[in-house]
Amino acid sequence: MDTFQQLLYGFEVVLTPENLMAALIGCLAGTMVGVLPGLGPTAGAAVLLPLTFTLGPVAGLIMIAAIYYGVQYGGSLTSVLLNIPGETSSVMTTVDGYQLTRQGRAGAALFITTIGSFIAATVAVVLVTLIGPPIADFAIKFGPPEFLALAVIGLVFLVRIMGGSLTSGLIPMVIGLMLGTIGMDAVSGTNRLQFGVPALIEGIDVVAVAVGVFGIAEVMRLIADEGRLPTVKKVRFRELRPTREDVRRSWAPWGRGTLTGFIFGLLPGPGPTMSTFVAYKLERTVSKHRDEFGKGAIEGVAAPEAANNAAATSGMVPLLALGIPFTPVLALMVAAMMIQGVTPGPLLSVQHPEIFWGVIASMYIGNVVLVVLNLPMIGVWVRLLQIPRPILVSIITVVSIAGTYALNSSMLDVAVLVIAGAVGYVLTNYGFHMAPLALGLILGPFAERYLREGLFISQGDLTYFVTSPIAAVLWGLLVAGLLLQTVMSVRARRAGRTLAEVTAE
Amino acid sequence: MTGPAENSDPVRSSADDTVRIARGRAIVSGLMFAAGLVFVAASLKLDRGDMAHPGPGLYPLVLGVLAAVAGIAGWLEARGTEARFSVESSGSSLRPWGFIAAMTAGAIALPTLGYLVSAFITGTAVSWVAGQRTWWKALLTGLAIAVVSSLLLRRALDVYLPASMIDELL
Repeated sequence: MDTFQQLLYGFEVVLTPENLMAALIGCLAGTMVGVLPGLGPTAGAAVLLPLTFTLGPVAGLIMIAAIYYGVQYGGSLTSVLLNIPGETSSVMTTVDGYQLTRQGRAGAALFITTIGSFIAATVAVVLVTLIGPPIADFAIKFGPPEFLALAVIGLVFLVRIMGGSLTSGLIPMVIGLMLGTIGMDAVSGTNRLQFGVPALIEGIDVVAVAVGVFGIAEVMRLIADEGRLPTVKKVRFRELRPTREDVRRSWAPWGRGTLTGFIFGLLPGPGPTMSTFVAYKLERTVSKHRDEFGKGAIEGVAAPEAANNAAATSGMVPLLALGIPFTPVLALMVAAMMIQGVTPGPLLSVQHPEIFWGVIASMYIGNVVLVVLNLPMIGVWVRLLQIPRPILVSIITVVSIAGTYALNSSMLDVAVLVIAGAVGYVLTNYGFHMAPLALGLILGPFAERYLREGLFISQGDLTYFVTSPIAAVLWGLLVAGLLLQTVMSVRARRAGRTLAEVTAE
Repeated sequence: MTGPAENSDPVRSSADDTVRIARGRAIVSGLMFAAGLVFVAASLKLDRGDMAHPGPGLYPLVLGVLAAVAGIAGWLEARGTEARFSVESSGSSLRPWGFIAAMTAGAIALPTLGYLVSAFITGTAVSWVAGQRTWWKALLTGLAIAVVSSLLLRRALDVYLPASMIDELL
C-alpha cells in the first residue's frame, strides 16, 4: 500500500463514532487546558490520561493527541486577550498579541492566530504523513546501539535545554530513572528494589507519577498563588474579521513559522516553545515592518502561533516512527500505548497500522474541529477563565484521584499520586524541572533493556554501541549538540540573556 | 505568608527567596546523595552478573552512583552559586499543604467509604483550602462535584471505582 492508501485507511479507522467523539472531546479538553493559565499541556494531558483508558487503544491515543495539539490553539487566546500565556509556547504571542488587543484589534489577532494555527498544523500533518513512514521503515534496521543512543539523546538534550543549572534537570532525571527500576526486572524476572513493599512488584506507575508531578503540583501552585482572576474583555464573532492588509502580511510569517516549527518539533527538547522564540526573532529580522514589533505587529502573532502548532504536530514523528518521545506529553502517549498493550517503536506502523494511521488521520480532522471550535466559541472559552478557583481545583483533584485509582484499581497508585504531587511541588519551587523526571521514568526501562541486550549480543564489548554507522552519527550529534548548547549558554550568560533568545539568533 | 505583595522591601524579599531556594536545593541534593547510597546498597544485594551477562543489579548500581554524583554536584552548585537561582517561587504559604491533607483525607476514604463520599470529602475540603470561605458553598461544591463526577465516571464512562451503599443509591 502506498502512503495515500494508508492515509485513506487511517481515515477509515478514525471515521467511526467512537474515534470521532474521542477527537472532538480531546480538542475541547485541549483547548480548555490551553485557555486556563497555570494548567499546562502536560498537566492537562496527565490529569485526563487515565480517563482515556476506558476507551480502546485507537480512540484513547487519538484523544491524547487531540489534547496535545488542542492546547496549542487554546494557549493563544489568553495571550492575546489578557497578556497571560496559557502555556509556555504562547509566551511570544503575548508580545504583539496583547498590544493588538489594546488597540481594539483583538478579534483580528485571534483570527490570524487561529487560521495560522490551522494552516501550520495541516501542512505539518501532510509532512508527517510523508516523512513518518520512511523514517519508520529506516528505523526497522535499528538495534540496541541506535535505540540506546536515541534514548540517551532524548534525556540529555531535555536536561540541558530546559534551562537553569545542570542539576535542575539532572537530579529529576535521575529520580525518574531510579523509579523506573523498581519492581520486577523485565529481562530476568527478578524482583528488585521493593524496599519491603510487596505491592511495588508491579513497579511504579508512570501515569500516577505524571499526574502527580504535573497535575497535582500545578494545582498546588495555583492554590499558593493568591493572585486575582483576570477581567476579560468580550470579543464578538463579527469583530473577528481581519483587514485584507492583515491577511496579506500574514502569509509569509505563517509559511516561515510553519517550517521553523516543523524542524524544531523533530528535535529533542521543548520544540513548540523553542520554535516560537526562533520564529518571532526570524520575523523581526526579515519583516518590512520591524518598527512595529512589540507594538502590535500582526507578523508577531502569525509566526509564533504557526510555529508552535507545526512543532506540536511534527513532534509526533519521533514518537510514531521511532517510539522515542522527546517531550513529556509525548512520553505520556508512550505510557498510554504501553498500558493499552501497544509496543511503541518502528514496528508500530506494521503491527498496529490502525493506531499509526488512525492518529495521523485524526490530526487532519482535529485541526478542522479546532478551527470550528475556536472561532465561534471564543466567548465561551473566555468565560472559562471566570470559573472560581476553588471549583476548578476541586474538579481537577477529584478527577485526578478517580482517574489514577482506575488505572489498576490500586490504592498504591493513589498514594504515589499524592506523594509525587508533593515532591513535584517542592522540587518545582526550588527550580527543578519535572519534564526530565517523567521522561526518565519512561525512557529508563528502555535504556536499560537496550544496554543489557547490547552487552549480551556483543559479549560485553562496549565499542559495539558506537561502531554501527547510525549509532556513531547519533552519538556524534549528541556531542555536537552539547558543545553547541554549552557555547550558547556561555554567550547567553555573558550577554545577560536567556538561552532561548540566543538560540533564536 | 511572605508574598511579594506583603513585603515592603522587594529587594530584601528577592534576596530571602534566593537564600531559601539555595538552601532547599542543598537539602534536595543531600537527599539525592542519600538515595544514591541506598540504591547502591540495595543493588549490591542483587545479581550484577558480568559485562557479557549483565544481571538485574548492574543498572541500579550505575544509577545509584549517578544519583550520588548528582547529589554532590547539586550541593556544590547550591553552595557556590546562590545568586544564579531565579525561580518563580510560590512562597511559603501553608495552603498547598492543606490541599495535600485534604487530598489524603479523600484518598483514605475511597476504599472504605466508597467513591461518592470520598469525592464529597475531597471536593469540599479542597474547595475550602483553595479559598472558598463560605462553608455551605464549599459543601455544595463538594456535593455537586461528587454527584456529577460519579454519574459521569461510573455510569457514563463505566470506570471502576469503589462503591458503598450510597453509591449504589445514585
